[in-house]
Amino acid sequence: MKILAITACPTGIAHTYMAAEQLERTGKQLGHSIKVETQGAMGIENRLTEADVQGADALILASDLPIQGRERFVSIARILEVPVQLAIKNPAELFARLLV
Amino acid sequence: MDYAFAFPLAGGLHAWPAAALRERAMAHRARFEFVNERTGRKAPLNSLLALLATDTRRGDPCRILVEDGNEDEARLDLIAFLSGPFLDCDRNPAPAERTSTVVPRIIERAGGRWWAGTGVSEGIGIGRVVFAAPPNAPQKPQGAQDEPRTDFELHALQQALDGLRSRLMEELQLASNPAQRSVLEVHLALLGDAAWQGGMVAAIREDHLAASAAVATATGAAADALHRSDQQVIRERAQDLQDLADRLTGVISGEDPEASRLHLTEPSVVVADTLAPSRFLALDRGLLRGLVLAEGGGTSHTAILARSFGIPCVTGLQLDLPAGQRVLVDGGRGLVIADPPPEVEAYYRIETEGDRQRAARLTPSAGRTLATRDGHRVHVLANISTPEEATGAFEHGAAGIGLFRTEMLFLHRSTPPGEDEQCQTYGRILKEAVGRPVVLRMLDVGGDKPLSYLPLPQEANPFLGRRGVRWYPGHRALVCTQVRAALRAALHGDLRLLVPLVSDVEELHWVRALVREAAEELAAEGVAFKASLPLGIMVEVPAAALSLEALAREADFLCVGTNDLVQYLFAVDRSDASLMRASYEWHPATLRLLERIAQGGRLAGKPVSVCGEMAGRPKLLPLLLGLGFTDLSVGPAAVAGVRGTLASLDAEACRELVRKALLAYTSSEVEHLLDSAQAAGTALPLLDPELVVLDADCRTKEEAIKLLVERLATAGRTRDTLGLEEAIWAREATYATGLGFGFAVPHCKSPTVIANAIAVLRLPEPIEWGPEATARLVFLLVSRADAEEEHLRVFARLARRLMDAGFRQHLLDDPDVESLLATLRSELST
Repeated sequence: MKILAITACPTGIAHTYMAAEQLERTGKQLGHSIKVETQGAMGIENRLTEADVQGADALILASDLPIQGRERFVSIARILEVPVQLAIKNPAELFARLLV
Repeated sequence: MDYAFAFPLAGGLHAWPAAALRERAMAHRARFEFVNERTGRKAPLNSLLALLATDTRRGDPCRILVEDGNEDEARLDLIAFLSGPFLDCDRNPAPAERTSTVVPRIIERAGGRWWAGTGVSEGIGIGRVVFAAPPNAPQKPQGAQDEPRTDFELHALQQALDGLRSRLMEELQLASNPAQRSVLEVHLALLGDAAWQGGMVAAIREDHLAASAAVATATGAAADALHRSDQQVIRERAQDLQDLADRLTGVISGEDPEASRLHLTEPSVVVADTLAPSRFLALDRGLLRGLVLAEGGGTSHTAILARSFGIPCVTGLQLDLPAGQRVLVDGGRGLVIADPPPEVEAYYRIETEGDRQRAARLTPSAGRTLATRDGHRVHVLANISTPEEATGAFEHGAAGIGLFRTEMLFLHRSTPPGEDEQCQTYGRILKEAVGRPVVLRMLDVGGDKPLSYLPLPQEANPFLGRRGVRWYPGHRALVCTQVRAALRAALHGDLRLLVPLVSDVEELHWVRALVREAAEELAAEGVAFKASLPLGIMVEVPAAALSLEALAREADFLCVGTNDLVQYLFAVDRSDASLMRASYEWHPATLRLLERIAQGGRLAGKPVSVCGEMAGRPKLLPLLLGLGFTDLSVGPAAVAGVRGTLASLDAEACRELVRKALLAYTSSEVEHLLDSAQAAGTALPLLDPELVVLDADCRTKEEAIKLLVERLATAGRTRDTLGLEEAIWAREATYATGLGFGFAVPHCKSPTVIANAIAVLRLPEPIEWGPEATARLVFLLVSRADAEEEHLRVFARLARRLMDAGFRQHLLDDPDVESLLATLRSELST
């Protein structure tokens, strides 16, 4: 599957990046194509572009606050919204949910 | 004849300055009256109570009338006092600094009983409760006596007054603590108050009361007058009056003062409704761990004394506890905790240890040599006015006396001090200095600091009149005596002579010739002296700064007096608070002039020090250091703080700051640069061996966070430990930062952070960290509100790497601090 994700946390200095790392690692292990945008203290990094959104199967929003630029993803049908902690503690479960 | 002035002290005419003013006035035969034009109240200067009752605040228009006696001399002396030493009378120790109303979480979590009052003296103490009962049951006011025994009672009263007076004098003689001395001086002044004593005598004579009843009656009336004041610092003196009244009554009734004394036999916390200053002073401070009072504010003398002796004190609490109960007193936060649980004690132990370590870094045991963070040698010397101050200055770690203002030796007397007396005084300071330099500033008097035995013509503008070196040619003999005394005393150490208010090189020539002649005289008389004394000049007149090339060639050293330099540069009378702005000190014009002076000294190869008040302001130290001033002379009390600040500065970063500041147009632009330089934290590294703790045994999350915060403060990453702790807990409140595999990453972004940092704690056993997680390895990331991206990137990288099990195992296995830091550095370099 082609999966996109965005991570964000209140301070933007730790959990955003831990969650991104977990999603990238686990996604690759499970054989998915995965790209994760971080919205942290350094602003938006690894931005999801229009090209990324084209043909994406699912989007994971692992965030504790409103995501910036949400309108980019209206074409994606499967959007999973969870607290950022969940992506850190149990990333595999998130991917499993997308497969159901 | 009268003298009008605006009342200068910020704290108003409270007891300490009033006692000093009274004492000065009583040295004269003349009678003075103090008039406050705002309140319309008058007071003879010999009555402390009446002075307090004038309710004088800063800025009040006041007058002093001289009624008889040798008016001129008395008036001049009092003016000299009011414009000099009086301005220093206000050194009332400030209330507790660590003030937070936030109760440490561990206290609530541990359960048990605790109370929150008002902290008036910082510190942590643990001891057993000892109740202090009121001194002696208030004697029943006896009515008029059947048989008038007026003479007998008057005699008893007089004996009690005399007895208590000599006891207070004895106590004063033994006291070395400055606050204690001030309180005792106020008590002596109160005891000698003519109005109060008059009230007692009248009560015996006219109302036929017994002596002790007369004391009570007169005290009631006097206390009422104090209570009418709208200033708390004046109302609170009623407690001192009552303290004295109780002691007087005790003496009259023949009570043994030892009997009412509270004896402590183990580490104790004394609990009382109120505690009179004399009863506090009678306590065994070796066993006193804290005070809990129901009444009294931060300016009560007992609170001031507690602060001065470092005894934690909380007020506004009535403890319902049995005597002997073990309690912990947190004087900063105003908390009292009954039977403190071990985890609460552990928390406070960490806090106390952090405070101790930070204090140790500031103490002189760190040695006389002091360097900036990047290794540039700097010296902090002390400005003193009396030989007594030298002792304290050296205790605080002064590298020498940068400015000894000799005026004080000349000001308070009817004849000038002789050569032998001066020689002894200078020698005493030199012996105390044991080899460290002592810069003796030659007599700096003039229209603004008049000498009673040398009446000077009134000048329209004394600050532009015959001051400093300009005054010397007219008083050659007086100056010569001082120089002879200095030459002789110099045999005892490293004495240097400093000439005030030089604006022209010819003035320096004149003094040099005088020194030469004095030396020839001594040689001819066969008196021992040191042949060569370094002769330096004060640079405090803009003309001197602008002709520094000539002056620096001739002078052996230069000393910048920023107070006068700024006053003359801006043409603003520095005693006029409505005109003088603090910001003139960092105005670009001042900085440009200072740069010129520093450069002139460097080019001529002559040392330049700064001895004005500017040098004592931590905020301005980056400017002075950046300008190239490495020798700073400050008030004795500021020495330790200035040393600490200098050690934390980076000289290269300060030079960069000054380069920018010299291009600024206004004070506020410079201020902005100072603020952002401070915010930049002058480049403390993110990772630091001081911030890696592998040997601590914390049992709770509270202890772990506290320990890391204390380390951050000791390593200069924050000055506000409580604020930072709160910021970390506020972040934890959204959800705990445990990661679920024995790691926790607490973090915060907060203005309390001076420099970003990563602090690491590795524990022998995992501790609970949030509802489902435990932690053996804790990474605390602290970030300034405006952290640089470079650091944020390192935080992000660490966060990502922690998701790698191999990396985590590595961190758990690293044998020591250095290898753990090496692992982190290699993994986090971007």
